[in-house]
Amino acid sequence: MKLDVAALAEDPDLALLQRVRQHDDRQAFGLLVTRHQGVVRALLRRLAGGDAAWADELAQEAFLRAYQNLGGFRGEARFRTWLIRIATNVFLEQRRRGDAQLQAQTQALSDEAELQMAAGLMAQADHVLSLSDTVALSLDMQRALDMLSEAERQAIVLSYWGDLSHAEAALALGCPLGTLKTHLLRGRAKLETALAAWAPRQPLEQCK
Amino acid sequence: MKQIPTSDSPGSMRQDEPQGEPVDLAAEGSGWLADMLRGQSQLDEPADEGFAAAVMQILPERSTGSVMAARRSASRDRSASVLPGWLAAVLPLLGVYGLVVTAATMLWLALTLAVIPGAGAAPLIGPGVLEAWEGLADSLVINLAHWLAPAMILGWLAWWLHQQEWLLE
Repeated sequence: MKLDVAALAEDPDLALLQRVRQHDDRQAFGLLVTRHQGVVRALLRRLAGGDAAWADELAQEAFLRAYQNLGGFRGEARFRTWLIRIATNVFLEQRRRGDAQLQAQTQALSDEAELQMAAGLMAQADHVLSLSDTVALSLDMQRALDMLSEAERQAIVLSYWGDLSHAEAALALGCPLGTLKTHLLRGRAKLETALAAWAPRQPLEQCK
Repeated sequence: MKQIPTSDSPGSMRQDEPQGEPVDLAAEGSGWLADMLRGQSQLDEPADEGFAAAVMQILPERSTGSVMAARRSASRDRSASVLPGWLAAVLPLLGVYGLVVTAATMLWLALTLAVIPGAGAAPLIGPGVLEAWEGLADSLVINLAHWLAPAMILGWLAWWLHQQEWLLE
């Protein structure tokens, strides 16, 4: 990995990476996990159809692989991009493998958590008659994403939740750039329709 | 703030993407959806809540060999060094020089021990050339004292610094 002093000063990830690689500084890797866990887990949750428990399992696996393969990070991309690529690979592998057992176990935990969450929400509903817009939008967003095809959802999630460029997303998904753009085009069109109720209202043009 | 590729936000198009393709404009979509997706992605990011600690518990120990390899790789990478470039380039040469001088010292010691303690004849040397070897030994001592010994010390110090360079980073 070619690093220069200026890059180390600008990007704290590189400094932490160097500490991990040269001194096996696990605390530094812990800081890296803390810095990026939010993005990785959020991305995997959307890819996993809102299954938070399964997504967290995948996120743990992704960070573990990142730690084991730190030598493969050459600094050509941002560390976060590299991490998201690993997370996407982990998700796609699990998806292809059809790891139903793991998914079923985590789904059970997730269902239990959802029941508890639902109970909590019901309790809150005594005081608040409707869910907040934030929660409602999040749920609608997941429903809208679920309506997309697998490829469209992956393209949308990697581009927006993963903050990847089109080229990076295409590389992570192993598809041509044009194909990814086509998936994005179709996915966005479906999302616009599904989430139309959340679109800001256009001011009416004044009559001349 | 995350950069989301939208056609309505100038500068958001990544440099690695060709601009002007018809599919680009269509793929970007309208602005409100991009803003909504961007906002939702930020809202979705969960708090740590022990996740990092859980990951740290499942991390395996990295082998000492891989860490040493990383250190060697880093010390070879001049751009990662905090030392001036010329010094980093000279250090290995000084190290080799130190090794050569050390070998010469060992040779000198061997010869001296072979020559000086010999009250009579030295083991490998005929009795007629004893004085010549003593002269050579004296010459080596003088040269070492004036030139080689400081160079040897400097060379060893330089080699050690080169090996321990990561301590300075």
